[in-house]
Amino acid sequence: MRKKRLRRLVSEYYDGKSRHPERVRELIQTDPEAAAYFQELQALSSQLRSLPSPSVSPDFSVRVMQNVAQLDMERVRPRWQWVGLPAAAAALLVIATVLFFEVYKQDTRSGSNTQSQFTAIDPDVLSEVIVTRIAQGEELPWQGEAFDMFEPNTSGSEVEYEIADASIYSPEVFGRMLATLEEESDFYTVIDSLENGEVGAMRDLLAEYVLEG
Amino acid sequence: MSQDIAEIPDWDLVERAKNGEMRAFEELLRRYQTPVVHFCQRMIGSLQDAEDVAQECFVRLYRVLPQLKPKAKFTTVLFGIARNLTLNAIRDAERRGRSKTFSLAGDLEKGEWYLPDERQDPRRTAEMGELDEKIQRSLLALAPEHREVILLREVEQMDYEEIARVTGTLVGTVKSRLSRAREQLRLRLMELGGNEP
Repeated sequence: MRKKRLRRLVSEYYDGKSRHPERVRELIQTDPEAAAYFQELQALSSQLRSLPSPSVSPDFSVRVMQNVAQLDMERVRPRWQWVGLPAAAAALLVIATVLFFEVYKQDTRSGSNTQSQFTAIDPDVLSEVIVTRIAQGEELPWQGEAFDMFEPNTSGSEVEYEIADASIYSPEVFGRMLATLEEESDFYTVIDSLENGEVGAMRDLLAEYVLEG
Repeated sequence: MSQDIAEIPDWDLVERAKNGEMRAFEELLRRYQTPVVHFCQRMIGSLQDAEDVAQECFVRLYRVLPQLKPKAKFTTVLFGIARNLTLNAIRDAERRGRSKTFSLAGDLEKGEWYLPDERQDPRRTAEMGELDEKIQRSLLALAPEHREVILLREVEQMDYEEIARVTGTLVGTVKSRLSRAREQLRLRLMELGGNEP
């Protein structure tokens, strides 16, 4: 036990970490065993500190930098994933918008006389006219009790809706539309608020309303 | 960069590397590749394995750069990574049966020392003198927790506090491990006839 303690004290003293350096120094000067151990530690330390460093492969740093570059690429990839999803969504939105207006134009060109006349009307002017007329307290020209004025028309692969009969147009639907118009004063907002299939029907009704006016 | 890059302190290089300056990281690599490979080689035994571990060490360093803060000496961070990786490598080797804890009276006499690849590596063999080989054998015979403290103290010349940081232990533990490591190393070298004061 004494030997173990002595060696620990000398080891700490050798490293300059002794809590009682004076006492250990005295011990080394007076105790042959402590002195011998101190000398052995010096020799050991000298041997360890003189160990030759290895010759690192010449391409070591190149390999590290290659791995680091690969790591950078892996870090970038997820970023693209984050960017990719919104980008894809935005692209889809653009495509959908373009398709919508293409279909809108075709529909308008191949539609009834009323629709053709509508295409000549600037939507902003249309919106303004409607808002003005509502503001003047005009009554809606359309009446109807059934809400199912839209009937599915399965032409091709897509289901489209057409007005079954404008005369039975639901006043609730129109009320909702006009309320939006009053609030927003924006034709496009009204269009956006419509459900699928209502767009074409509402366009026709609005055109008819304006033209009749 | 107006200042000579070789004169820039480690933590300043870390900050520059964080900002994407690859030259700064390359300078850290240049400064420490040899000490890290040396430490890994003394811990593991094989220079080739040591280079693989050291390579991983620098890649890990690069990966954790954004989280690094200059709270202690940079070398304690770097050698902390190296130390963890070498211990993993030693454990993996033990699982594969490549290494074992040596008993001087047993394995040495049976000639079953683990010197992986050392004898097949002409570059290493040429470099290692007789004494160096004895020291390396004796180091590898120590338990990894003793081997690491003596290498960090004597080869890397870290103080007790730095060793405690690297090894994740208390200073008191470092003191006792270092004392035991020295004693065991001294005994093993004496048995090999390599520690004549």
